[in-house]
Amino acid sequence: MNPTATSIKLTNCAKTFADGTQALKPLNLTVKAGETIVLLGPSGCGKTTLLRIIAGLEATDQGGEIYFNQQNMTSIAIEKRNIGMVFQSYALFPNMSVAQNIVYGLKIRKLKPQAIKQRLDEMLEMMQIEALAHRRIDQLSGGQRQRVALARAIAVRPNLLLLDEPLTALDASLRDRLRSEISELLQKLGITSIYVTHDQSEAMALADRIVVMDEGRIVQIGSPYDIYHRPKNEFVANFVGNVNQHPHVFNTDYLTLFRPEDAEIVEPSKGEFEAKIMSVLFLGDKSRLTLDCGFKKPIYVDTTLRQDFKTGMTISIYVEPERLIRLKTTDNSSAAVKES
Amino acid sequence: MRNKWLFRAQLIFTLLVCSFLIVPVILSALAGITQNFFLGIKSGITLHWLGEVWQLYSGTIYLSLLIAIWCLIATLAIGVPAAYVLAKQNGKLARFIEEIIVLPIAIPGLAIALALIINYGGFRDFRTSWGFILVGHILYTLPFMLRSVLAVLSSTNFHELEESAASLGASFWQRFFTIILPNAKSGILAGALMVVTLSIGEFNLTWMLHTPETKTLPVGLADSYASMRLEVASAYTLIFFVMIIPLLIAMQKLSQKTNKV
Ligand SMILES: Nc1ncnc2c1ncn2[C@@H]1O[C@H](COP(=O)(O)OP(=O)(O)OP(=O)(O)O)[C@@H](O)[C@H]1O
Ligand SMILES: [Mg+2]
Repeated sequence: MNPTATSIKLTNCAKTFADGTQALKPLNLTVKAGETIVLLGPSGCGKTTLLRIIAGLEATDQGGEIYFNQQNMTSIAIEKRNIGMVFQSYALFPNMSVAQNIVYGLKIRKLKPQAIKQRLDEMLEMMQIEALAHRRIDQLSGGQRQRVALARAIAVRPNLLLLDEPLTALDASLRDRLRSEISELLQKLGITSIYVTHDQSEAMALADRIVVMDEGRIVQIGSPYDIYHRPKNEFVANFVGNVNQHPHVFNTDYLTLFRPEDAEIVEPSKGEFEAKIMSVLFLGDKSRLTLDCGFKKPIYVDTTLRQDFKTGMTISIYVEPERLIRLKTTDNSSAAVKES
Repeated sequence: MRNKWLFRAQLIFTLLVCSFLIVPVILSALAGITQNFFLGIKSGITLHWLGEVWQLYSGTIYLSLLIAIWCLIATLAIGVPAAYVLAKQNGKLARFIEEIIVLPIAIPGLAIALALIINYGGFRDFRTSWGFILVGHILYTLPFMLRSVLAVLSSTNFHELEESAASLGASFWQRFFTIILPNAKSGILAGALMVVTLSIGEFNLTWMLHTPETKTLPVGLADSYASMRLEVASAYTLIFFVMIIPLLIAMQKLSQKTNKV
């Protein structure tokens, strides 16, 4: 871990905009030094607003406080917070070359020319953009811009790295590649990072802990594994993957769910319930079956069995008890979650 | 075949229109360097008239340049920050202020001049100084500077650029000088050329605001047309062209360049 890494603490941070929109309800959040946190949630849930409050681009409402390493930063301006920030549109300076963009923060900090040169080379090499150093910004592809934006943010050795949907503007294959590069980079640097996305697979891949948000609240905080397998409520369960409601386990206090890949197709004698195949989506490594078991909602099952399933067939399904997700029904509209 | 004829007809028409506009200009310029306009160019070419203009009217040329430069300084100092603030705000008040500043474009110069005289004409020292004309010119040219800068600022996402500069540690003034100004450069330059050209050529307002002691070039021109030999007036026009045409060409070049980007 990076010895200079900073821990972050937010207490009671809320945001009401001038027009009366309450983008964030009062919330608490602690980020450990060196940790990568992903803010995950649907569009408009307040991820960007929370990130901008941490950055210092927005002020929190009265009563909220922000600490970097126990130091109260609430009223410190963004330019004094020593952060690195990557914007969705990159926001590279069009009046400067790639190299000038990268060293901008170093020049502002009045580093010696020697040190600036050295850091520049280091960044260019780390992001593999040596050949682009003298290009103008409008001569770069989307992926290259992304690398420059990252290099520029990291070059200043920030206490905290903030990334707002940095991959959204890229096409799918590039996104996958950059995602793993960013993941490696964050691990290597050990900078405390907060990464915003509405893409659950991006969140799973990058996060030490995921913060799931909905309607200005934090709904659940946990490791990707926890969030996926032990979601706190139906919203989280649905947001981070597909879930089915179990057709045969009824209980008014609990909702019993399972994930498509946790269902097994078994012999009729071992099955918990039978269902008719309504459609088959063959994906190569697996097949996704849509099943009808006399329920309002269809059930989705993923299987890797080497069997040519056909529409109309009837199959038997079994889900191991420990793979069931049980949710208290009263938990569905759960209020803000206490930070553990 | 028909297309070809159509093209030729259009070409001839265009050339005719151009010559209709340009021939008087050329003749006028020529008249300024002929011995005797009524005898024509065969009477000989001379710089005599230019010399005479210089003797009689060099004061107006200096004054025009002086006013244009101060007008440029003032519109830069007021217009650029104002455009920045207006681009940053998107409330109703900002739009209202923008409308007010831009209003002088729609008002006839004479009306602006009259308003100035009614309001400030009583301050004698001010009224008789060229500062009075300068104020009129600033009012008249400011909208062009403002519009021009505002257009560039609203076409770049400068708000986000500024935020990212701030995240890298840049203070307000550092951001203003390293990010805002360089990225608004094309608009500022276009606005500046426009302001200087308009100020040097301005007649309506200036004619109302001037005193015998504060004549600008266009006012002097009108004066010479009314009271001088045709050759002197023409030589004077020639000088005016020499001053204004490079500015117009620069403006044209600049707009071509920014259109390409
Ligand atoms: N400057 C503003 N003034 C008023 N309301 C705002 C402002 N910025 C954001 N909002 C509102 O606050 C809420 C949260 O916005 P925010 O941008 O934080 O969402 P988000 O989670 O980042 O969404 P997305 O995934 O679409 O980027 C939204 O309802 C939005 O309309
Ligand atoms: Mg957002």
